[in-house]
Amino acid sequence: MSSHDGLFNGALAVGAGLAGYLVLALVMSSAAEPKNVRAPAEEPVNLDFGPNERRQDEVLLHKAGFAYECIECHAWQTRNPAPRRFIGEHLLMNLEHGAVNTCFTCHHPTEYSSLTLPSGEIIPYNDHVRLCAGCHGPIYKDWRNGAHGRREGYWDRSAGPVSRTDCIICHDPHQPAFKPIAPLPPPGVARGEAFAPPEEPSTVLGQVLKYVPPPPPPDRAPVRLEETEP
Amino acid sequence: MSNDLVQIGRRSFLKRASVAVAGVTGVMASLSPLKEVVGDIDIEAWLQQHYHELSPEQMKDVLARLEADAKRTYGVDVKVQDIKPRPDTKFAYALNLGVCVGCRKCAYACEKENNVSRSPGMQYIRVLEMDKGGVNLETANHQYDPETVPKPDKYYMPVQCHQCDNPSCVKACPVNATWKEPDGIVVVDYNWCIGCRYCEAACPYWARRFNFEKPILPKEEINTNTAYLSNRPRPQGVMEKCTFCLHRTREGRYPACLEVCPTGARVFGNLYDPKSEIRYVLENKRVFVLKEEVGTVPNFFYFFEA
Repeated sequence: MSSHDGLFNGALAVGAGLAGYLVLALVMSSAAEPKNVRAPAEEPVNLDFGPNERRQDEVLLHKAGFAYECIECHAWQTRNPAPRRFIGEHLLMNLEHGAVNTCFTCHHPTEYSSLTLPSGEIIPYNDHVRLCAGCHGPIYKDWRNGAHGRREGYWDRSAGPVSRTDCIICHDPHQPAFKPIAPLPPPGVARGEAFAPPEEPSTVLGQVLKYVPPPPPPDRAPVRLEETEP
Repeated sequence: MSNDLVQIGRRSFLKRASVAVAGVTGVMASLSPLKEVVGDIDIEAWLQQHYHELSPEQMKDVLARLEADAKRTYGVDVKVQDIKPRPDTKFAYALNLGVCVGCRKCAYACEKENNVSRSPGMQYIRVLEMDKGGVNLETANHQYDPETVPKPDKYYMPVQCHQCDNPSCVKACPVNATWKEPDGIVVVDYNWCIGCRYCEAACPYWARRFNFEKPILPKEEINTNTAYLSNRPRPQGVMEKCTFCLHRTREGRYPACLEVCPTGARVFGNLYDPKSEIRYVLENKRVFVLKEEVGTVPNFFYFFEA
Protein backbone atom coordinates (compact mmCIF):
# COMPACT_ATOMS: atom_id res chain seq x y z
CA MET A 1 0.00 0.00 0.00
CA SER A 2 3.07 2.27 -0.02
CA SER A 3 1.95 4.10 -3.15
CA HIS A 4 -1.19 5.24 -1.35
CA ASP A 5 0.37 6.50 1.84
CA GLY A 6 0.83 10.00 0.54
CA LEU A 7 -2.69 10.13 -0.66
CA PHE A 8 -4.08 8.92 2.61
CA ASN A 9 -1.94 11.41 4.48
CA GLY A 10 -3.35 14.12 2.30
CA ALA A 11 -6.86 12.94 2.96
CA LEU A 12 -6.17 12.99 6.67
CA ALA A 13 -5.04 16.56 6.42
CA VAL A 14 -8.42 17.60 5.12
CA GLY A 15 -9.61 17.69 8.69
CA ALA A 16 -12.58 16.77 10.72
CA GLY A 17 -15.09 14.21 9.64
CA LEU A 18 -12.39 12.01 8.14
CA ALA A 19 -11.87 9.67 11.04
CA GLY A 20 -13.25 6.96 8.84
CA TYR A 21 -10.26 7.32 6.60
CA LEU A 22 -7.89 6.82 9.49
CA VAL A 23 -9.68 3.72 10.60
CA LEU A 24 -9.77 2.47 7.07
CA ALA A 25 -6.13 3.22 6.44
CA LEU A 26 -5.12 1.38 9.59
CA VAL A 27 -7.34 -1.54 8.74
CA MET A 28 -6.13 -1.75 5.19
CA SER A 29 -2.47 -1.35 6.01
CA SER A 30 -2.56 -3.93 8.77
CA ALA A 31 -4.81 -6.46 7.11
CA ALA A 32 -3.61 -8.95 4.56
CA GLU A 33 -3.98 -8.05 0.91
CA PRO A 34 -7.71 -7.91 0.16
CA LYS A 35 -9.07 -10.03 -2.61
CA ASN A 36 -9.79 -8.58 -6.04
CA VAL A 37 -7.39 -5.70 -5.53
CA ARG A 38 -5.89 -4.49 -8.74
CA ALA A 39 -2.37 -3.21 -9.08
CA PRO A 40 -2.07 0.53 -9.73
CA ALA A 41 -1.65 1.34 -13.37
CA GLU A 42 1.98 1.74 -14.37
CA GLU A 43 1.44 4.13 -17.24
CA PRO A 44 -0.11 7.59 -17.05
CA VAL A 45 -3.81 7.13 -17.47
CA ASN A 46 -5.89 9.05 -19.95
CA LEU A 47 -8.97 10.26 -18.14
CA ASP A 48 -10.46 11.92 -21.17
CA PHE A 49 -13.36 9.82 -22.33
CA GLY A 50 -13.89 11.47 -25.65
CA PRO A 51 -16.89 10.30 -27.58
CA ASN A 52 -14.49 8.50 -29.87
CA GLU A 53 -13.20 6.40 -27.00
CA ARG A 54 -15.18 3.47 -25.76
CA ARG A 55 -15.43 3.42 -22.00
CA GLN A 56 -14.01 0.33 -20.44
CA ASP A 57 -15.72 -1.90 -17.93
CA GLU A 58 -14.09 -0.26 -14.96
CA VAL A 59 -14.85 2.75 -12.90
CA LEU A 60 -12.99 6.00 -13.00
CA LEU A 61 -11.04 5.24 -9.83
CA HIS A 62 -9.39 2.23 -11.42
CA LYS A 63 -8.48 4.27 -14.45
CA ALA A 64 -6.72 6.73 -12.17
CA GLY A 65 -4.65 4.02 -10.54
CA PHE A 66 -6.54 3.50 -7.30
CA ALA A 67 -6.44 -0.15 -6.45
CA TYR A 68 -9.51 -0.82 -4.38
CA GLU A 69 -13.22 -1.15 -4.90
CA CYS A 70 -15.76 1.45 -3.75
CA ILE A 71 -17.33 -0.95 -1.34
CA GLU A 72 -14.10 -1.52 0.54
CA CYS A 73 -14.42 1.97 1.99
CA HIS A 74 -18.14 2.46 1.90
CA ALA A 75 -18.88 -0.62 3.91
CA TRP A 76 -17.34 1.24 6.84
CA GLN A 77 -18.89 4.65 6.23
CA THR A 78 -22.08 6.04 7.56
CA ARG A 79 -24.34 7.23 4.81
CA ASN A 80 -25.02 10.90 4.22
CA PRO A 81 -27.68 11.50 1.58
CA ALA A 82 -27.23 15.29 1.51
CA PRO A 83 -25.76 16.89 -1.63
CA ARG A 84 -22.23 18.04 -0.88
CA ARG A 85 -18.80 18.61 -2.35
CA PHE A 86 -16.66 15.60 -2.99
CA ILE A 87 -13.23 15.29 -1.46
CA GLY A 88 -10.29 12.94 -1.76
CA GLU A 89 -10.43 10.45 -4.57
CA HIS A 90 -14.00 11.46 -5.28
CA LEU A 91 -12.70 14.64 -6.89
CA LEU A 92 -12.22 12.44 -9.93
CA MET A 93 -15.91 11.70 -9.96
CA ASN A 94 -17.54 15.07 -10.41
CA LEU A 95 -21.24 14.66 -10.74
CA GLU A 96 -22.42 16.74 -13.69
CA HIS A 97 -25.60 14.99 -14.64
CA GLY A 98 -28.41 17.49 -14.93
CA ALA A 99 -30.71 17.44 -11.93
CA VAL A 100 -29.05 14.32 -10.54
CA ASN A 101 -26.96 15.66 -7.68
CA THR A 102 -26.92 12.91 -5.09
CA CYS A 103 -25.34 9.48 -5.21
CA PHE A 104 -28.51 7.71 -4.14
CA THR A 105 -30.57 8.86 -7.07
CA CYS A 106 -29.05 5.93 -8.89
CA HIS A 107 -27.00 3.95 -6.36
CA HIS A 108 -28.73 1.96 -3.71
CA PRO A 109 -27.93 3.28 -0.23
CA THR A 110 -27.24 -0.13 1.28
CA GLU A 111 -26.77 -2.58 -1.56
CA TYR A 112 -23.49 -1.18 -2.87
CA SER A 113 -23.20 -3.53 -5.81
CA SER A 114 -26.59 -2.55 -7.14
CA LEU A 115 -28.51 0.34 -8.58
CA THR A 116 -31.95 1.40 -7.57
CA LEU A 117 -34.94 2.50 -9.57
CA PRO A 118 -37.10 5.41 -8.37
CA SER A 119 -39.63 2.78 -7.32
CA GLY A 120 -37.11 1.33 -4.90
CA GLU A 121 -36.51 -1.81 -6.91
CA ILE A 122 -32.93 -3.02 -6.78
CA ILE A 123 -31.35 -3.82 -10.14
CA PRO A 124 -27.84 -5.05 -10.96
CA TYR A 125 -25.28 -2.77 -12.56
CA ASN A 126 -25.40 -4.49 -15.94
CA ASP A 127 -29.13 -3.75 -16.10
CA HIS A 128 -28.47 -0.02 -15.93
CA VAL A 129 -30.37 0.71 -19.17
CA ARG A 130 -33.64 0.37 -17.24
CA LEU A 131 -32.47 3.03 -14.83
CA CYS A 132 -31.43 5.45 -17.59
CA ALA A 133 -34.70 4.89 -19.42
CA GLY A 134 -36.62 6.05 -16.36
CA CYS A 135 -35.65 9.64 -17.11
CA HIS A 136 -34.59 9.49 -20.78
CA GLY A 137 -37.64 7.78 -22.21
CA PRO A 138 -37.67 9.23 -25.75
CA ILE A 139 -33.97 8.55 -26.20
CA TYR A 140 -34.47 5.02 -24.88
CA LYS A 141 -37.16 4.52 -27.50
CA ASP A 142 -34.84 5.80 -30.22
CA TRP A 143 -32.09 3.53 -28.97
CA ARG A 144 -34.36 0.51 -28.99
CA ASN A 145 -35.29 1.29 -32.59
CA GLY A 146 -31.74 1.90 -33.79
CA ALA A 147 -31.91 5.68 -34.15
CA HIS A 148 -29.67 6.54 -31.20
CA GLY A 149 -26.25 5.20 -30.37
CA ARG A 150 -23.30 3.79 -32.16
CA ARG A 151 -23.76 0.58 -34.14
CA GLU A 152 -21.50 -1.91 -35.88
CA GLY A 153 -22.31 -5.04 -37.79
CA TYR A 154 -25.22 -5.87 -40.05
CA TRP A 155 -28.24 -3.78 -40.99
CA ASP A 156 -29.71 -7.05 -42.28
CA ARG A 157 -30.30 -8.99 -39.07
CA SER A 158 -30.70 -12.23 -41.01
CA ALA A 159 -27.16 -11.85 -42.40
CA GLY A 160 -25.42 -11.22 -39.10
CA PRO A 161 -25.49 -9.57 -35.68
CA VAL A 162 -25.37 -5.91 -34.74
CA SER A 163 -23.41 -4.61 -31.80
CA ARG A 164 -25.32 -3.67 -28.66
CA THR A 165 -24.03 -0.36 -27.35
CA ASP A 166 -25.41 0.32 -23.89
CA CYS A 167 -25.74 3.84 -22.50
CA ILE A 168 -22.59 3.85 -20.37
CA ILE A 169 -20.36 2.60 -23.18
CA CYS A 170 -20.49 6.11 -24.66
CA HIS A 171 -21.78 8.21 -21.75
CA ASP A 172 -19.95 8.39 -18.45
CA PRO A 173 -22.92 8.19 -16.06
CA HIS A 174 -21.39 10.80 -13.76
CA GLN A 175 -20.60 13.25 -16.60
CA PRO A 176 -22.77 12.15 -19.49
CA ALA A 177 -22.14 15.09 -21.80
CA PHE A 178 -19.65 14.47 -24.59
CA LYS A 179 -16.42 16.39 -24.33
CA PRO A 180 -15.17 18.34 -27.37
CA ILE A 181 -12.61 16.45 -29.44
CA ALA A 182 -9.99 17.44 -31.99
CA PRO A 183 -11.18 17.18 -35.59
CA LEU A 184 -9.19 15.34 -38.22
CA PRO A 185 -7.41 17.62 -40.73
CA PRO A 186 -9.42 19.40 -43.42
CA PRO A 187 -9.50 17.89 -46.91
CA GLY A 188 -6.67 18.70 -49.28
CA VAL A 189 -4.02 19.13 -46.59
CA ALA A 190 -0.73 17.41 -47.28
CA ARG A 191 -0.29 14.59 -44.82
CA GLY A 192 3.45 14.27 -44.32
CA GLU A 193 5.71 11.60 -45.72
CA ALA A 194 3.22 8.81 -45.14
CA PHE A 195 2.41 8.83 -48.82
CA ALA A 196 4.89 8.70 -51.65
CA PRO A 197 4.99 11.68 -54.03
CA PRO A 198 3.12 11.16 -57.29
CA GLU A 199 5.28 9.66 -59.99
CA GLU A 200 5.69 11.55 -63.24
CA PRO A 201 3.12 10.51 -65.81
CA SER A 202 4.93 8.39 -68.36
CA THR A 203 2.68 9.10 -71.30
CA VAL A 204 2.06 12.10 -73.51
CA LEU A 205 -1.62 11.81 -72.66
CA GLY A 206 -0.77 11.71 -68.99
CA GLN A 207 1.39 14.81 -69.27
CA VAL A 208 -1.39 16.68 -71.03
CA LEU A 209 -3.87 15.63 -68.34
CA LYS A 210 -1.43 16.21 -65.52
CA TYR A 211 -2.99 18.29 -62.82
CA VAL A 212 -0.75 20.20 -60.46
CA PRO A 213 -2.51 20.54 -57.12
CA PRO A 214 -2.15 23.92 -55.44
CA PRO A 215 0.47 23.99 -52.68
CA PRO A 216 -0.84 23.87 -49.13
CA PRO A 217 -1.22 27.22 -47.39
CA PRO A 218 2.19 28.36 -46.14
CA ASP A 219 1.02 28.88 -42.58
CA ARG A 220 0.00 25.26 -42.14
CA ALA A 221 2.68 22.70 -41.57
CA PRO A 222 2.01 19.25 -43.00
CA VAL A 223 -0.13 17.31 -40.59
CA ARG A 224 0.29 13.63 -39.95
CA LEU A 225 -2.94 11.83 -39.45
CA GLU A 226 -1.69 9.72 -36.58
CA GLU A 227 -0.62 12.72 -34.53
CA THR A 228 -3.99 14.33 -34.61
CA GLU A 229 -5.60 11.56 -32.62
CA PRO A 230 -6.30 12.68 -29.06
CA MET B 1 -11.91 0.17 -114.93
CA SER B 2 -9.34 -2.34 -116.12
CA ASN B 3 -8.46 -0.08 -119.08
CA ASP B 4 -7.74 2.81 -116.72
CA LEU B 5 -5.38 0.71 -114.66
CA VAL B 6 -3.56 -0.53 -117.71
CA GLN B 7 -2.97 3.00 -118.90
CA ILE B 8 -0.90 3.92 -115.81
CA GLY B 9 2.62 3.90 -116.99
CA ARG B 10 5.69 2.70 -115.11
CA ARG B 11 6.97 6.25 -114.51
CA SER B 12 3.70 7.62 -113.14
CA PHE B 13 3.22 4.50 -110.98
CA LEU B 14 6.61 4.95 -109.36
CA LYS B 15 5.90 8.63 -108.80
CA ARG B 16 2.60 7.95 -107.13
CA ALA B 17 3.99 5.08 -105.07
CA SER B 18 6.84 7.21 -103.77
CA VAL B 19 4.41 9.94 -102.75
CA ALA B 20 2.26 7.36 -101.00
CA VAL B 21 5.24 5.89 -99.15
CA ALA B 22 6.34 9.36 -98.09
CA GLY B 23 2.83 10.13 -96.90
CA VAL B 24 2.55 6.98 -94.85
CA THR B 25 5.97 7.59 -93.35
CA GLY B 26 4.98 11.10 -92.42
CA VAL B 27 1.79 9.96 -90.77
CA MET B 28 3.65 7.30 -88.82
CA ALA B 29 6.23 9.86 -87.73
CA SER B 30 3.53 12.23 -86.56
CA LEU B 31 1.91 9.41 -84.56
CA SER B 32 5.15 8.31 -82.94
CA PRO B 33 4.39 9.98 -79.55
CA LEU B 34 1.34 7.73 -79.37
CA LYS B 35 3.62 4.74 -79.14
CA GLU B 36 4.29 5.77 -75.57
CA VAL B 37 0.57 6.00 -74.92
CA VAL B 38 -0.06 2.58 -76.38
CA GLY B 39 2.61 1.19 -74.09
CA ASP B 40 0.42 2.04 -71.08
CA ILE B 41 -2.91 0.92 -72.46
CA ASP B 42 -4.09 -2.60 -71.95
CA ILE B 43 -5.76 -3.72 -75.16
CA GLU B 44 -8.23 -5.90 -73.26
CA ALA B 45 -9.23 -2.96 -71.08
CA TRP B 46 -9.51 -0.78 -74.17
CA LEU B 47 -11.86 -3.24 -75.87
CA GLN B 48 -13.90 -4.10 -72.77
CA GLN B 49 -17.66 -3.90 -73.16
CA HIS B 50 -20.05 -1.86 -71.03
CA TYR B 51 -20.88 -3.36 -67.65
CA HIS B 52 -24.38 -4.26 -68.76
CA GLU B 53 -23.15 -6.07 -71.86
CA LEU B 54 -20.57 -8.27 -70.20
CA SER B 55 -21.45 -11.94 -70.10
CA PRO B 56 -20.66 -13.81 -66.87
CA GLU B 57 -17.60 -15.37 -68.52
CA GLN B 58 -16.35 -12.02 -69.73
CA MET B 59 -16.94 -10.53 -66.29
CA LYS B 60 -14.86 -13.32 -64.79
CA ASP B 61 -11.99 -12.44 -67.11
CA VAL B 62 -12.38 -8.75 -66.36
CA LEU B 63 -12.26 -9.32 -62.60
CA ALA B 64 -9.18 -11.51 -62.97
CA ARG B 65 -7.53 -8.81 -65.08
CA LEU B 66 -8.36 -6.11 -62.52
CA GLU B 67 -6.92 -8.21 -59.72
CA ALA B 68 -3.74 -8.74 -61.73
CA ASP B 69 -3.56 -5.01 -62.43
CA ALA B 70 -3.86 -4.19 -58.75
CA LYS B 71 -1.20 -6.75 -57.91
CA ARG B 72 1.15 -5.26 -60.49
CA THR B 73 0.49 -1.67 -59.45
CA TYR B 74 0.36 -1.90 -55.68
CA GLY B 75 1.83 -5.33 -54.90
CA VAL B 76 -1.26 -6.31 -52.94
CA ASP B 77 -3.61 -9.24 -53.46
CA VAL B 78 -6.90 -7.42 -54.01
CA LYS B 79 -10.12 -9.38 -54.33
CA VAL B 80 -12.47 -7.79 -56.88
CA GLN B 81 -16.05 -9.07 -56.92
CA ASP B 82 -19.09 -8.23 -58.94
CA ILE B 83 -21.74 -7.98 -56.24
CA LYS B 84 -25.28 -7.78 -57.58
CA PRO B 85 -28.07 -5.82 -55.87
CA ARG B 86 -30.27 -7.64 -53.38
CA PRO B 87 -33.92 -8.15 -54.28
CA ASP B 88 -36.61 -6.11 -52.50
CA THR B 89 -34.07 -3.64 -51.21
CA LYS B 90 -33.74 0.08 -51.53
CA PHE B 91 -31.13 1.81 -49.45
CA ALA B 92 -31.56 5.13 -47.70
CA TYR B 93 -29.55 7.08 -45.20
CA ALA B 94 -30.44 9.48 -42.40
CA LEU B 95 -28.12 11.72 -40.44
CA ASN B 96 -28.82 13.32 -37.08
CA LEU B 97 -27.41 16.83 -37.24
CA GLY B 98 -28.21 17.34 -33.58
CA VAL B 99 -25.46 14.98 -32.43
CA CYS B 100 -22.88 15.26 -35.23
CA VAL B 101 -19.77 16.90 -33.75
CA GLY B 102 -17.88 17.46 -37.01
CA CYS B 103 -14.87 15.28 -36.18
CA ARG B 104 -14.45 14.13 -39.84
CA LYS B 105 -13.91 10.51 -38.80
CA CYS B 106 -16.51 9.45 -41.36
CA ALA B 107 -14.61 11.15 -44.17
CA TYR B 108 -11.36 9.43 -43.29
CA ALA B 109 -12.95 6.04 -42.70
CA CYS B 110 -14.60 6.34 -46.11
CA GLU B 111 -11.32 7.29 -47.74
CA LYS B 112 -9.66 4.19 -46.34
CA GLU B 113 -12.56 1.82 -46.98
CA ASN B 114 -13.00 2.92 -50.58
CA ASN B 115 -9.33 3.17 -51.63
CA VAL B 116 -9.73 6.85 -52.44
CA SER B 117 -6.60 8.61 -53.62
CA ARG B 118 -4.87 10.23 -50.66
CA SER B 119 -3.38 13.15 -52.56
CA PRO B 120 -4.87 15.57 -53.25
CA GLY B 121 -7.44 14.81 -50.57
CA MET B 122 -10.67 14.12 -52.43
CA GLN B 123 -12.80 12.48 -49.81
CA TYR B 124 -16.36 11.59 -50.74
CA ILE B 125 -17.74 13.13 -47.53
CA ARG B 126 -17.45 16.86 -47.00
CA VAL B 127 -18.36 18.03 -43.49
CA LEU B 128 -19.77 21.54 -43.64
CA GLU B 129 -19.52 23.84 -40.65
CA MET B 130 -22.76 25.78 -40.53
CA ASP B 131 -24.02 28.71 -38.50
CA LYS B 132 -26.74 27.77 -36.07
CA GLY B 133 -30.15 29.16 -36.91
CA GLY B 134 -30.55 28.02 -40.49
CA VAL B 135 -29.33 25.87 -43.35
CA ASN B 136 -27.29 28.44 -45.26
CA LEU B 137 -24.89 26.70 -47.62
CA GLU B 138 -23.52 30.06 -48.82
CA THR B 139 -21.74 30.62 -45.52
CA ALA B 140 -20.80 26.98 -44.90
CA ASN B 141 -17.14 26.19 -44.41
CA HIS B 142 -15.61 22.79 -45.06
CA GLN B 143 -12.01 23.82 -44.28
CA TYR B 144 -12.66 24.50 -40.60
CA ASP B 145 -9.78 23.47 -38.38
CA PRO B 146 -10.29 24.54 -34.74
CA GLU B 147 -8.56 22.94 -31.77
CA THR B 148 -11.70 21.10 -30.77
CA VAL B 149 -15.13 20.51 -32.20
CA PRO B 150 -18.00 21.19 -31.88
CA LYS B 151 -17.80 24.94 -31.58
CA PRO B 152 -20.72 26.26 -29.54
CA ASP B 153 -22.23 28.49 -32.23
CA LYS B 154 -21.89 26.01 -35.09
CA TYR B 155 -23.37 22.75 -36.23
CA TYR B 156 -21.89 20.28 -38.66
CA MET B 157 -23.45 18.79 -41.75
CA PRO B 158 -21.68 15.96 -43.58
CA VAL B 159 -22.57 15.86 -47.27
CA GLN B 160 -21.96 12.88 -49.53
CA CYS B 161 -23.72 11.31 -52.50
CA HIS B 162 -27.47 11.42 -51.91
CA GLN B 163 -28.22 8.50 -54.32
CA CYS B 164 -31.02 10.55 -55.85
CA ASP B 165 -34.12 9.00 -57.39
CA ASN B 166 -33.91 11.62 -60.14
CA PRO B 167 -30.15 11.86 -60.56
CA SER B 168 -28.95 14.77 -62.66
CA CYS B 169 -25.47 13.23 -62.90
CA VAL B 170 -26.87 10.18 -64.68
CA LYS B 171 -28.73 12.34 -67.18
CA ALA B 172 -25.60 14.36 -67.86
CA CYS B 173 -23.40 11.38 -68.73
CA PRO B 174 -22.95 11.24 -72.51
CA VAL B 175 -21.82 7.59 -72.61
CA ASN B 176 -24.04 5.93 -69.96
CA ALA B 177 -21.05 5.19 -67.76
CA THR B 178 -23.07 5.98 -64.64
CA TRP B 179 -26.53 4.69 -63.80
CA LYS B 180 -28.90 3.93 -60.95
CA GLU B 181 -28.97 0.36 -59.72
CA PRO B 182 -32.22 -1.38 -58.68
CA ASP B 183 -31.35 -0.95 -55.00
CA GLY B 184 -31.07 2.80 -55.43
CA ILE B 185 -27.31 3.22 -55.59
CA VAL B 186 -25.87 5.38 -58.36
CA VAL B 187 -22.72 3.67 -59.62
CA VAL B 188 -19.93 4.36 -62.12
CA ASP B 189 -18.33 1.89 -64.53
CA TYR B 190 -14.78 3.16 -64.20
CA ASN B 191 -13.75 1.34 -67.37
CA TRP B 192 -16.49 2.97 -69.44
CA CYS B 193 -16.10 6.52 -68.07
CA ILE B 194 -14.44 8.92 -70.50
CA GLY B 195 -13.60 11.50 -67.86
CA CYS B 196 -15.60 14.41 -69.29
CA ARG B 197 -16.71 15.50 -65.80
CA TYR B 198 -20.19 16.54 -66.96
CA CYS B 199 -21.66 14.57 -64.05
CA GLU B 200 -19.50 16.44 -61.58
CA ALA B 201 -20.86 19.72 -62.93
CA ALA B 202 -24.43 18.41 -62.90
CA CYS B 203 -24.45 17.25 -59.28
CA PRO B 204 -25.93 19.88 -56.95
CA TYR B 205 -24.33 18.27 -53.89
CA TRP B 206 -20.69 18.27 -55.03
CA ALA B 207 -20.65 14.54 -54.46
CA ARG B 208 -18.49 13.38 -57.37
CA ARG B 209 -14.71 13.33 -57.51
CA PHE B 210 -12.33 13.15 -60.46
CA ASN B 211 -9.00 11.32 -60.55
CA PHE B 212 -6.84 14.03 -62.02
CA GLU B 213 -3.82 11.90 -61.27
CA LYS B 214 -3.15 8.25 -60.88
CA PRO B 215 -4.53 7.51 -57.41
CA ILE B 216 -1.92 7.53 -54.66
CA LEU B 217 -2.57 4.73 -52.19
CA PRO B 218 -0.22 3.59 -49.42
CA LYS B 219 0.27 -0.12 -49.94
CA GLU B 220 -0.41 -1.03 -46.32
CA GLU B 221 -3.70 0.89 -46.24
CA ILE B 222 -5.31 -0.65 -49.31
CA ASN B 223 -8.65 -2.31 -48.62
CA THR B 224 -8.43 -5.66 -50.37
CA ASN B 225 -12.16 -6.44 -50.19
CA THR B 226 -13.42 -4.63 -53.26
CA ALA B 227 -16.21 -4.66 -55.80
CA TYR B 228 -16.24 -3.79 -59.48
CA LEU B 229 -18.73 -0.95 -59.05
CA SER B 230 -17.41 0.52 -55.82
CA ASN B 231 -13.99 0.51 -54.27
CA ARG B 232 -11.65 -1.34 -56.61
CA PRO B 233 -8.49 0.66 -57.39
CA ARG B 234 -9.38 3.21 -60.05
CA PRO B 235 -7.34 4.35 -63.05
CA GLN B 236 -6.40 7.94 -63.74
CA GLY B 237 -8.93 10.16 -65.48
CA VAL B 238 -12.24 8.68 -64.27
CA MET B 239 -15.01 9.88 -61.97
CA GLU B 240 -15.82 8.24 -58.68
CA LYS B 241 -18.30 8.76 -55.87
CA CYS B 242 -19.87 7.39 -52.72
CA THR B 243 -21.67 4.09 -53.34
CA PHE B 244 -23.05 3.61 -49.80
CA CYS B 245 -20.18 1.07 -49.57
CA LEU B 246 -22.13 -1.34 -51.77
CA HIS B 247 -19.48 -4.03 -51.29
CA ARG B 248 -20.53 -3.98 -47.62
CA THR B 249 -24.19 -3.02 -47.71
CA ARG B 250 -25.15 -5.55 -50.37
CA GLU B 251 -23.84 -8.20 -48.02
CA GLY B 252 -25.97 -6.87 -45.19
CA ARG B 253 -23.34 -4.84 -43.38
CA TYR B 254 -23.41 -1.17 -42.41
CA PRO B 255 -21.41 1.38 -44.42
CA ALA B 256 -17.98 2.29 -43.08
CA CYS B 257 -18.95 5.88 -42.28
CA LEU B 258 -21.77 4.70 -40.04
CA GLU B 259 -19.65 2.25 -38.08
CA VAL B 260 -16.95 4.80 -37.33
CA CYS B 261 -19.28 7.61 -36.24
CA PRO B 262 -18.46 8.20 -32.55
CA THR B 263 -21.81 9.79 -31.74
CA GLY B 264 -24.04 7.42 -33.66
CA ALA B 265 -25.39 10.23 -35.81
CA ARG B 266 -25.89 8.01 -38.84
CA VAL B 267 -28.80 5.69 -39.59
CA PHE B 268 -28.86 3.33 -42.56
CA GLY B 269 -31.30 0.74 -43.78
CA ASN B 270 -33.69 -0.74 -46.27
CA LEU B 271 -36.63 1.49 -47.18
CA TYR B 272 -38.76 -1.50 -48.19
CA ASP B 273 -38.49 -3.10 -44.74
CA PRO B 274 -41.11 -1.52 -42.43
CA LYS B 275 -39.14 -2.62 -39.36
CA SER B 276 -35.86 -1.07 -40.47
CA GLU B 277 -34.09 1.68 -38.60
CA ILE B 278 -34.37 4.09 -41.48
CA ARG B 279 -38.12 3.61 -41.60
CA TYR B 280 -38.34 4.35 -37.89
CA VAL B 281 -36.52 7.64 -38.43
CA LEU B 282 -38.60 8.63 -41.43
CA GLU B 283 -41.83 7.88 -39.57
CA ASN B 284 -40.91 9.46 -36.24
CA LYS B 285 -38.55 12.36 -36.95
CA ARG B 286 -38.94 15.62 -38.80
CA VAL B 287 -36.55 14.86 -41.66
CA PHE B 288 -35.58 17.14 -44.52
CA VAL B 289 -33.52 16.74 -47.66
CA LEU B 290 -30.87 19.07 -48.96
CA LYS B 291 -31.82 21.32 -51.88
CA GLU B 292 -35.29 19.88 -52.21
CA GLU B 293 -36.14 22.56 -54.79
CA VAL B 294 -33.75 21.18 -57.41
CA GLY B 295 -35.93 18.10 -57.78
CA THR B 296 -33.30 15.39 -57.47
CA VAL B 297 -35.35 13.41 -54.88
CA PRO B 298 -32.48 12.31 -52.64
CA ASN B 299 -32.41 9.15 -50.57
CA PHE B 300 -30.36 10.93 -47.90
CA PHE B 301 -32.26 12.58 -45.07
CA TYR B 302 -31.21 14.96 -42.32
CA PHE B 303 -32.91 15.52 -39.00
CA PHE B 304 -32.26 17.34 -35.76
CA GLU B 305 -32.68 15.35 -32.56
CA ALA B 306 -30.83 15.75 -29.29
